[in-house]
Amino acid sequence: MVIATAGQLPYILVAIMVSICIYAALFKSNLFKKMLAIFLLTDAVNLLFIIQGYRLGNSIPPIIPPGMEPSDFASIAVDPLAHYFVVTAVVIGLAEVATLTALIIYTYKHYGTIETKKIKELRG
Amino acid sequence: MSGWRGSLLGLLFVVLMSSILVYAFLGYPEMGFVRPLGEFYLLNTYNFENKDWWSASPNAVTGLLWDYRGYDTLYETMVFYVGIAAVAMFFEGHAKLKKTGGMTVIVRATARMVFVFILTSAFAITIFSIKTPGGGFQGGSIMAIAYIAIIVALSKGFLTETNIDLEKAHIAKIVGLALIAFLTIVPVVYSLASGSVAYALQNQPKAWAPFGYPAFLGLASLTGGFIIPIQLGEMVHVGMGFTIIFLLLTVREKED
Repeated sequence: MVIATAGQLPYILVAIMVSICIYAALFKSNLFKKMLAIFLLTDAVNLLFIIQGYRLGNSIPPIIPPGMEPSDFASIAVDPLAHYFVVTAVVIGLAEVATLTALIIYTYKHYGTIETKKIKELRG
Repeated sequence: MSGWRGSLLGLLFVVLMSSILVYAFLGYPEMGFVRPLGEFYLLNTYNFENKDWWSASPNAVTGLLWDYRGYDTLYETMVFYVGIAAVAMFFEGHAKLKKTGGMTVIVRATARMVFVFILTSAFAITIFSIKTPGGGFQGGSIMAIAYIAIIVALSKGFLTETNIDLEKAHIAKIVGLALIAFLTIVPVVYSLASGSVAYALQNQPKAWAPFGYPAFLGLASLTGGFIIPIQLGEMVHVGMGFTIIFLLLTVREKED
């Protein structure tokens, strides 16, 4: 039987968040809700990265304070790789939301609704 | 399906999906573990005693951006800049169409020729990304520019001559994604069949996992294992994705 330890509990939160977002992105008929779900899904993955690089206890951000020895800094700072990937992902996420918003606005102008069920009925 | 049945199925979906993900995530190390590569950057980003590796940035994340993949970001930005400039130029010409009575023969003929050149450069940037800056995303963005150029210069209808419509673009996009998924899963299937250890997305063999895609083609032609086919899959996926967006955005053309 698999039992999660305290250090693994945040992973469970991420798993639930990802599942809810995938459900909403796949099964909600409102395009705006789908977009929100996709946006939150990227946030959930970003959270996963941050959790993986986080240090419990007396940790500091990956910015060296003045006067601190590099070896001391390396032993208490959080993983900069995780932050780096999130910085890149946030930019891509922004572009994604901008594109999706433009498409939703266009869809509304074209069909007069953003409900996929109603759009399906309009076809043909 | 509506009402409580839909809600129940949704809840079931979330519970099942969460269970699978929790099982997968519990394989990760507990919080508090910093990878050796991360520690290397923390130790060396602003180390006055050892300037061989330092980036002179107190912020380790900025140090990574400068040092780790600065060229990649630079060339990505260049590709986007050139792509946006090209589209802006084409659309500027498109806006003047009503006054001039359409694109000239020169523009149309040039667009056909440039289309082939742009596609060739997209493939080159993708395939040679193993040795030079570039990759599937950059190649795909350039590929999309070729189709946008055709849409603007010769109209959307011309794309049917190149055998591209919405449905075929969707299929190509899915094929690109399927290629990536297939190459990702092959090591896992191999490990299940042979009783050995392998990982999803495993490219080269490890001491404890013998599976590996061929790193060389012939004697010395570097392939990097499955990097080139994965980049090609990404190129098709991204290129067709952007093309679909532009095909949808120009749907009004038919009505006008």
